[in-house]
Amino acid sequence: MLAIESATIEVGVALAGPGGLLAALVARPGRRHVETLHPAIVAVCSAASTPLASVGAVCVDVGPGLFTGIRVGVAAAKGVAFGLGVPVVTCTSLEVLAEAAQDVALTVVPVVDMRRGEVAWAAPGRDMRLGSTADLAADLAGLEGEAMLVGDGALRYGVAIVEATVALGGAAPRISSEDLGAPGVAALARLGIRRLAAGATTDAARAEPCYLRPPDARANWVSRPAPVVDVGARADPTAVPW
Amino acid sequence: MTGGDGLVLAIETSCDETAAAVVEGGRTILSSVVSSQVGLHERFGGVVPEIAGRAHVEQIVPVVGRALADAGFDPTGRPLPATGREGRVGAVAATTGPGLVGALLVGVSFAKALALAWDVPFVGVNHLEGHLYASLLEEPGMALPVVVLLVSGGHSLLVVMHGPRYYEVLGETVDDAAGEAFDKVARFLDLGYPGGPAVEHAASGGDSQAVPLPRPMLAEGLDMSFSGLKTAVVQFVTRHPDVRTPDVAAAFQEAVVDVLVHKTLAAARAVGARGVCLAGGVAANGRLRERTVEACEAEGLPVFLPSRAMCTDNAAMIAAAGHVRLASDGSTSIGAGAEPSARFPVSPP
Ligand SMILES: [Zn+2]
Repeated sequence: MLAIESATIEVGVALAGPGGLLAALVARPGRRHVETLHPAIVAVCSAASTPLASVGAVCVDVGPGLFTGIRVGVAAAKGVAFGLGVPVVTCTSLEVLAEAAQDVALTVVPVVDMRRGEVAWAAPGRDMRLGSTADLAADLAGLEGEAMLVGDGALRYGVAIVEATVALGGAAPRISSEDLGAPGVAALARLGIRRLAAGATTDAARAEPCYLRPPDARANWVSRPAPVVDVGARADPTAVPW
Repeated sequence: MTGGDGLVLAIETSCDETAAAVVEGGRTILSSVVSSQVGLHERFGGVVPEIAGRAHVEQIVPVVGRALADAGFDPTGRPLPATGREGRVGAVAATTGPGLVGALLVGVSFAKALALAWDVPFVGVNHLEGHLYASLLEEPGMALPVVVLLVSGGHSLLVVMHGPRYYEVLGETVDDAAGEAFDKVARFLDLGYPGGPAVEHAASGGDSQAVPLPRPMLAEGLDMSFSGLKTAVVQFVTRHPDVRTPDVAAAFQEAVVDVLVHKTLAAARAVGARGVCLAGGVAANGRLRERTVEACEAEGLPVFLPSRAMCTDNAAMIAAAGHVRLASDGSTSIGAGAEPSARFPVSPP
């Protein structure tokens, strides 16, 4: 199985089988996901001496996270899976973060930084949520037992989340160390192999990113930057910025 | 080089159309599928980048699958048994720019991954260069040099093509693209989206003489400007609120067409062109087509107008350009990215 992780500023690629990882590569390309991911696939196949054509499934982190990274990763997963005629296994970034923290004895709550002051999280046994750190604190205050927050949202907003949770009468959650800050490709591959074995697959056409937020509906003038024009500006032409 | 018979699968996702095509030998279109997102962007009066990016991710597999099936190939690029063909698809091309970055990335990422899966070359194609090949696909016998007026929502360029991969840019817009002006005027007049067809439709019932509008930069070289024309429309309508909308639409369209035709003929004369052709979405405008033919005929200059489907964005033109690029420059690095503000590629003879 080929595993593709690109939901954050990291790009990770791994080849894994039922026995574990065959090869893995992690790079921090900044925003250059599409420049980094495909050469990494080539490099990992060569490191594992396994031709890409022999891959039997593609596993991908569908987010939530960095929109650009997720789209590049999902599009690449679709390309490989479609071209080889193999199934796709999808995992959310929150599931991958929780998988990476499988050895933590506390209640693990993955928290992803969604920017604009919002985070996405999933308390064990509950649905994924998107909201402010105050919304997250309200959820945490109601949790049984001691929680450990993992993910880049936990690292960025840790202090605010702890203070807000305590203010609501909850137990102060622990914040993980940096190594549990990003969904790792090794955890993704492990989770993917289990799902594949359980038959939890989809196909290239149906695999979709998990954005958690409706699109920014701001029209753009195709390829050159230009001011946004309000619809209905006819009554007052001085309001037309062009 | 491409395997088989030079069969190229191309993918185009630079703006709001998800397109895929299979072209043989750079000339024969075996399939061409275009999935338009126009309905998704309509209520915003323009293309919304994030909506476009998301829609491309949803559409890419069905569109590519359909293009392959229509051409007689399975998803692994091999011929379907019923076709009796032997060669498999030998290269995957994709538009790398210019365009919306979030839209381009989907096509580039998918195409590179598909090329890796099939173990065939990847080739990145400049979208503007692609538009030139739209005409060559339909009229391979065109005598060179040919002057191409490339007008779309994002671009207004006058290019002379001396030979495959040998072009010169003669003029371009200094501000808005022609199609952009159509979109903005259509929005101002409440005519709907996309603006080109909306203005053309409204103009059909109007009198272009009823509204005096300028012809910006008409006598100033081969560059163009459309921003002032749009402002003139706004000012005229403000001062004459009772003016008939069809008259405004007709006058605006006539002014744009005047400038485009005048500059195109001047460019053709300047380089001693042996022909003229149109390209890009605005080249589907009926009035522009009519006036270009009239003007070229008056000068005894051969003119070629691509079909309307070849004017608007499609992947067949990307496949044709990819075929030529592969033969001249070889494959593109698998580490290639999107180039949202790529310029028209000008290469020496
Ligand atoms: Zn175009």
